[in-house]
Amino acid sequence: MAQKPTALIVDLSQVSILTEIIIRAGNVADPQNRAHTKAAYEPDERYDNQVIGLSVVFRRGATLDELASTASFPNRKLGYTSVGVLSQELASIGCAPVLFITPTGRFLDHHTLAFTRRGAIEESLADDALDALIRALLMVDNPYQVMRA
Amino acid sequence: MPDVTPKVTPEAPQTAAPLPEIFADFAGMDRLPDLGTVLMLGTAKRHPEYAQLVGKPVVFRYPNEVEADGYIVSREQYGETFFYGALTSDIRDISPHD
Repeated sequence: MAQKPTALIVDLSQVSILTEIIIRAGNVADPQNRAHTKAAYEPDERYDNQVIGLSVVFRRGATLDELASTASFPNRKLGYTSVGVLSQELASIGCAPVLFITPTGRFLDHHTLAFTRRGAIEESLADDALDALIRALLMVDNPYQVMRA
Repeated sequence: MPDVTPKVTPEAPQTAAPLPEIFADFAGMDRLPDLGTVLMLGTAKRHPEYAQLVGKPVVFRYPNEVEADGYIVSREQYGETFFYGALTSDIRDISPHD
């Protein structure tokens, strides 16, 4: 039987925190989406280590435009932030980001964004962590919206 | 002579039962060689309720954002049963427009 792979983690101490971009598809800032964002903070059981969090895209060195065009999400809006701004917002509530490298056949830049608190990965998305994420994200219209399945 | 013509009562318009809605995050779309684009739904251990929907038409929806038609597929991987959502339509934008 094939063994589950281990999801590696991006060493965020080794990236340029002011320039490296993370994109989350959809309008996370819409108050109507709060419950959906929390529901989307899910485990990915295809890995043998504990992988849980939100689907995002990230590629070291990629610009916002490159990341968004490569992903071509079907969502009308995107939220983006830098690693530095996200880390700063999370630090204000005693949390830190973790980026698991979890590529999919559709999104080669796919990562799973988890939050840690006191060193442990949060198993659900708490209100204060969601608020910090919303503060970190800048919402824009998605110029590369593709509806093809 | 009595009228024996059968009376035909117009039938009420048939309304199709709404398809089951399955929450899915399209930001995690994947591809499987035989199915094309799929949505990862999780294991049978975490979502036993999907077992009864395997093969049946459903709507995969991320409320307020996007949705698509499809059906649920089960796959044995790593000694576990995983559920995927196979898409049979293009994705529809259901977000509120400004």
